[in-house]
Amino acid sequence: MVADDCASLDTASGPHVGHQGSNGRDMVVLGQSRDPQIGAVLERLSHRGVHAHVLDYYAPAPFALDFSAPGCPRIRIGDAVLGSDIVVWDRSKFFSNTSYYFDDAAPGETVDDTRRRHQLQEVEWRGAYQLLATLPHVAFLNHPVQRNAMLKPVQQMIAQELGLKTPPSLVTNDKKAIEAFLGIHPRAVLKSLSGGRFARLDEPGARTDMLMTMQVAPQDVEAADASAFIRAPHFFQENIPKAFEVRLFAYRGGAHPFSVDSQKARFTSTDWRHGASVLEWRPCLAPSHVLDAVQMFLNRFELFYGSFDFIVTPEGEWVFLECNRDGQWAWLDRLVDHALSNGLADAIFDTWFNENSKGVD
Amino acid sequence: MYLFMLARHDLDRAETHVLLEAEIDAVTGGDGVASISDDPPACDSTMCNCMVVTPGGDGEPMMDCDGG
Repeated sequence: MVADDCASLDTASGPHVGHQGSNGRDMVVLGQSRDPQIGAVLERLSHRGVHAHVLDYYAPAPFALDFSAPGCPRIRIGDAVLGSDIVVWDRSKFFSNTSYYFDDAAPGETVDDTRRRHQLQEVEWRGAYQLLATLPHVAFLNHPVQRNAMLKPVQQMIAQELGLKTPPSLVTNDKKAIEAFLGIHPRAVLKSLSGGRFARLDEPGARTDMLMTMQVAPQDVEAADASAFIRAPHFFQENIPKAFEVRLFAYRGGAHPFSVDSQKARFTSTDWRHGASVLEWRPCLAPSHVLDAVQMFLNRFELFYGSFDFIVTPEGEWVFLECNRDGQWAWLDRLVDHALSNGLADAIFDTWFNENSKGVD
Repeated sequence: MYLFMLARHDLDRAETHVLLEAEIDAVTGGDGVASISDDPPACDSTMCNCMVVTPGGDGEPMMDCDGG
């Protein structure tokens, strides 16, 4: 019924004036035009005749989601009126104090006024993006609901089912449980379960920190009071020995693994993000069972693409750590002549914009 | 110690700074990336624990979470 309503509404509302891609679909990107990942993919799609619209929260153009008529809303971005059948790519990032956040200050605004306004802008843009995700006829990559399935322990359970090795893990606020875990796995790391942010020690209210992966020794836990754990869940994993690590960017039908020499320095040995700019990244090969599992993982979580992290042990075993549903990969793209952005763009085109496209299975 | 993970984080951040200052020259071969601060020169969008920077250095935050 919805499809018929929308189709009739399209006909009744006059000529379609948007930049429509092949196969009668439009593409909308949620994010920033200046996001290098977005730019590279849209350039490739443009060459294939798909002209996407960026619903840009950072440098917004006028847009309207008009729900006046029953059945199906009218979507206008800039001067373009979109059809009812759209593909939405969610690249929205709201990270304060980065280039992925608002940075304008109105004349006469105090710092607190600006921060307050930005907070409200953020939640309202998030609301609009969420609204788009719930509309009929919208194909979404990657759908916001998939954020809920992105917790590492859940991912690792699925990865195990798919034949991948994962580190033994424990989520607890119980000191005794931690001590028991460390009794079996004395080499352990502590991670954030949520990946959330909190105020920086010396700059409260301004920049935020994120919990990086940290080594924890049994004596550290032994010396702590039980009350230091009870207030929040703590996420421990066995500290798997590393020869090197791999960031593997995958999309439906393709994958691009890159090795990083994270063991080159102590400050990158536990969490390579500490020194991402000084480490060497190289395209590498991945075992076929890993590549197969990655594709099955994407299917299982209904993801169109993702960034996977692996440890490769000194024995050559690949150990799955996590999949980031929308991690960064532009710097890897440059190493391989845009093979990642071209591959993702082609996968998007083949899935939704080809004459014979049927969408995601 | 009010919260174990927070105390460990503050300690780890401080230790990592020391490690960075000590090791960065060896890692980079002294090619000019040695100046590590809360605003690494290779990055105009400091993230997280201040040393998470974009390899490309073109304003792309090097983050590993999904923005949820």
